Amino acid sequence: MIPARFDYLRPDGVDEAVALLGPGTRVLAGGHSLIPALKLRQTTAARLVDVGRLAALRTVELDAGVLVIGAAVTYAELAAHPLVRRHCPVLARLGGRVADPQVRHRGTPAGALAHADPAGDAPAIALALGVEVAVRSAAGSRTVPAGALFTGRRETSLRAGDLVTAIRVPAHDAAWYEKFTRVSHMWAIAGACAVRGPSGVRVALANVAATPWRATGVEGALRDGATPAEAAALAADGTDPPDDVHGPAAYRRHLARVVTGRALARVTP
Amino acid sequence: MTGHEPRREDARLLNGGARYTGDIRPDGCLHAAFARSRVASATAVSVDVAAARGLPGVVAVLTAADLDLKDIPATLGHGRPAPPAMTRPPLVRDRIRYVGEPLAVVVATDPYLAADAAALVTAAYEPAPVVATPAAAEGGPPLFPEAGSNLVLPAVTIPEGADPDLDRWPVRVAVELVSPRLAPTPMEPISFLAAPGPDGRLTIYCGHQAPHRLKRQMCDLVGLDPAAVRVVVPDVGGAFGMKAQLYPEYPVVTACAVRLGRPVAWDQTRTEQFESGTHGRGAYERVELAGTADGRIRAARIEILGDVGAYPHNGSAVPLFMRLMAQGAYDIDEVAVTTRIVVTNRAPTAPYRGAGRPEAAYGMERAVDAYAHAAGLDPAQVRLLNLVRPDQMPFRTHTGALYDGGDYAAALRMALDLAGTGEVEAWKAAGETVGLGMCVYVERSNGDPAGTEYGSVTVHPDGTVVARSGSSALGQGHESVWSRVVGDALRVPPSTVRVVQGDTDAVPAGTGSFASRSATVGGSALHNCATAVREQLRDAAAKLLGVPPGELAGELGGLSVAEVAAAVYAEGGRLFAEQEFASGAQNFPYGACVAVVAVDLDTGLVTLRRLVAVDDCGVVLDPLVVEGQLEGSLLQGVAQALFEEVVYDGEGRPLTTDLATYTLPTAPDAPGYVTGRLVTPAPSNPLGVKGAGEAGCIGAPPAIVNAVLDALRRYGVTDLRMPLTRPGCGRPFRAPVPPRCRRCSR
Repeated sequence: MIPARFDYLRPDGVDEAVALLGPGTRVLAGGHSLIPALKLRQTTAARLVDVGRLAALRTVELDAGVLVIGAAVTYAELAAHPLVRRHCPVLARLGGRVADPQVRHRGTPAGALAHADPAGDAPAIALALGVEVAVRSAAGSRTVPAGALFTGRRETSLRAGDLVTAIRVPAHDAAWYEKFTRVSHMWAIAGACAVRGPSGVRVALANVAATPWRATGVEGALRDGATPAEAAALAADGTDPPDDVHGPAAYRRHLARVVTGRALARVTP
Repeated sequence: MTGHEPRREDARLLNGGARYTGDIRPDGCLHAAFARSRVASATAVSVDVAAARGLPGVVAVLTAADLDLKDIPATLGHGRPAPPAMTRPPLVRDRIRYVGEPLAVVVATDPYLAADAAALVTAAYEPAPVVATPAAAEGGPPLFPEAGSNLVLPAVTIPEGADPDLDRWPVRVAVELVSPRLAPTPMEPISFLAAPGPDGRLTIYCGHQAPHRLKRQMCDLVGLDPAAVRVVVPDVGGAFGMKAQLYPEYPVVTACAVRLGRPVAWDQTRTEQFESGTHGRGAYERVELAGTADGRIRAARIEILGDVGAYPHNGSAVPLFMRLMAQGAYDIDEVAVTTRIVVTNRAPTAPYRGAGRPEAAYGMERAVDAYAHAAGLDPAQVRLLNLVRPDQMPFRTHTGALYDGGDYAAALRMALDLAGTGEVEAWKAAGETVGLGMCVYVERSNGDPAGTEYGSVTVHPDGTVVARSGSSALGQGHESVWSRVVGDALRVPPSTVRVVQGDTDAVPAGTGSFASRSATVGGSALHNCATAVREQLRDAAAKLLGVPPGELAGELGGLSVAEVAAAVYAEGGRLFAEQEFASGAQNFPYGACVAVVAVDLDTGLVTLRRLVAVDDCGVVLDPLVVEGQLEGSLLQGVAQALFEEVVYDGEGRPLTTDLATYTLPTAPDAPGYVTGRLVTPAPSNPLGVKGAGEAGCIGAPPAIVNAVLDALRRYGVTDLRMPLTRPGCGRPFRAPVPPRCRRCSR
């Protein structure tokens, strides 16, 4: 419960933050994933660059129909923000429910995407929403689609000098995240986010694989005219859920089908 | 003696003004960290501390060979000896018996360095067979070869020679049950600070439930002069039994402070609390009941197997507490209880809130439901037919308990009324998977009837009042309750009473705060002292006014307490009384719980729609405090029934080592409670109080499990294992099974 030694830096602006990044350096936003991992010595860092208070990362705006959420915006701020409540209620609802009040007031969805915990809620929701992550580095700016972000268990395609500056959420018609957990503050034992948009329904699952999992089989079945119940029966296909103290893999596969069915029921007419 | 005023300590506790052991860090304080075993069983252990000693900032790294400490004795609780070979070395000598056992202590200039250095300690050893379950203990490889077996207590039956013939009755049922291990998990893990002072005395700060006992233990194990040791209990963030135990870290840290001549602090991490803080429960039980077809239970045969982990200490008392309460709330002609206690390669157990009573109630209340279903009768009717009646009080059970009064049937009727049984039937009729379950429990408080508690009351010359108690608070609100008990008896405002507790220098004697004994013995001692000082005040006032004491007008003949006190002290007198009070009896609170649950057949999730608790803990000294005790304990009971379990794998490795793996419910998971109260004053103490601290965690688990069984019985489910919300589906490692898994046929 005591982290190994690290240096702590708090830059005053995004450019300065980017300049400080590099190998051995980790970005600190809310710290509710990184600090526990450091305390448990599951990870180490030579230094932390704290971007949690950078004003440029704390805005929420609508940009031609795309909701742009700054990387240092907390879950609690999401829950309360009128633009988020209007244009992406699934994220607003998450902001009011994820984990516990301490996490909601410090933690950030952007940080959760960079942390890429496959059990996390935000990564699965981001994948289903088809968000893009805005990234700055010494080389300039770019965006990374959520589908190209998650490469492994807590691994992303982000590189050592990258700073996530915002999440860009495309417009959609309806979205619902169904999470199964035994007590309120825990990670999903299994979760499913279903999003209905102009190009059909997208479904992504939490905690059934090494990364947030896009249930393409479910999406394809719906496209081919399957009922939501028929499609949900395919939700566990291809998954490789963990087998741990919270539940065996078979139970999680079962739950994947259940939560997918419930999420689909919320977004399909 | 009642009121709804907020607790006096709350402003401090809620506004960051509390001072816990972790807040006390004297100048030059060093920090201890422990290197611990990562395997459950090993012999020929050799600990290498060279690398740790080489780290800058490390002041000392010490092993068993470096510290000359006595072994912690093996006991069956209450001072009864366990096999003498089962003593516990504070640091591993040559044998490891559980994961988390301390191998060496590192003392460094800051806690981070100490943790870094502890990670460098290594151990060489020969792996030894692991006794991973209590079932494997008997006949398994002995943890203590000199003891010959893993039995702490071989099978003993009470009453001696009892052998009821169950076969002669037409209705017979048997249930086999587990009360899984639980981790007490107070908000504040353990902190311990030993600080040598310039006067040559050693002051120990620790959030402990029995400071005077801790002082005796440190003097004994480390070899210190009692006159040179002071134990202080600062604010405590919860204890639940976990902080009454003798941890090996205590004598080790004390010895380090003495040896180095500097303050040494140890702050237990949350993982250490889960791995090697004590666990509660861990009981295996078989209950057989037999009786008539019309519902009268006539005979019971009960077998208890207690798992006390690697070293028998206070935890060994728990299966014996369970045995005492095994008959439950019922009048049964013949009862036999056979108890065995074994050691296993797991962390040692200890009494945890309820300690034996939840396990006993769970066994009997599950069995009574099974009996009702076997006889085709209503579970409530079977209970009402068999409960001990008020006209049978005091009632002696076959296990030796003397129930001291109450109307058990009234408690059950009140709880059923509050639960709204009609609505539950309507939900069922509408096709909802809901169920109703109940439990009637008897509690046993004030575990050692001969145990005393110290109290004193002083009125100072300025009229202010000081109350001293040997029972100190762990968060329960002693300051509020003691000031009210003393103020009421002295007829002064409670706000004028200062409470002194948790300091062996300031309170000359004390037993402690556990077994729901504080109000019974600590409160009674203060009540008696305050009553005696009130008589002293009245005598002095009468003398001042020149009237016989019986003819004083009003309380003090118009004089104030300060006026009388000033006069008494001016004449060389004083206003003081002290007492070490013993109640001479255990007392027996009781009550009933009714749970209404809904089960999600797709996921196995259980939702509590209603949790009703009716409790009778005798006279209530402070309604807010007693309600808080009941509701907090109920949530711990809900947690046991639905969520919590300390899990080990087959190699004795703990899998629940932090709050991400141990499923602890928090405020949003708490159901709404409906509570009711009956009051049957205890006959064995002047306040008429009974223990209020444990009721909920005794009554809730059987009520909830019985309710879920009621919901699932129509699907053929007849047995469940706690915690109920562990998965799952298809091939569950435990129930509830979604009985007709709509989406998962494999």
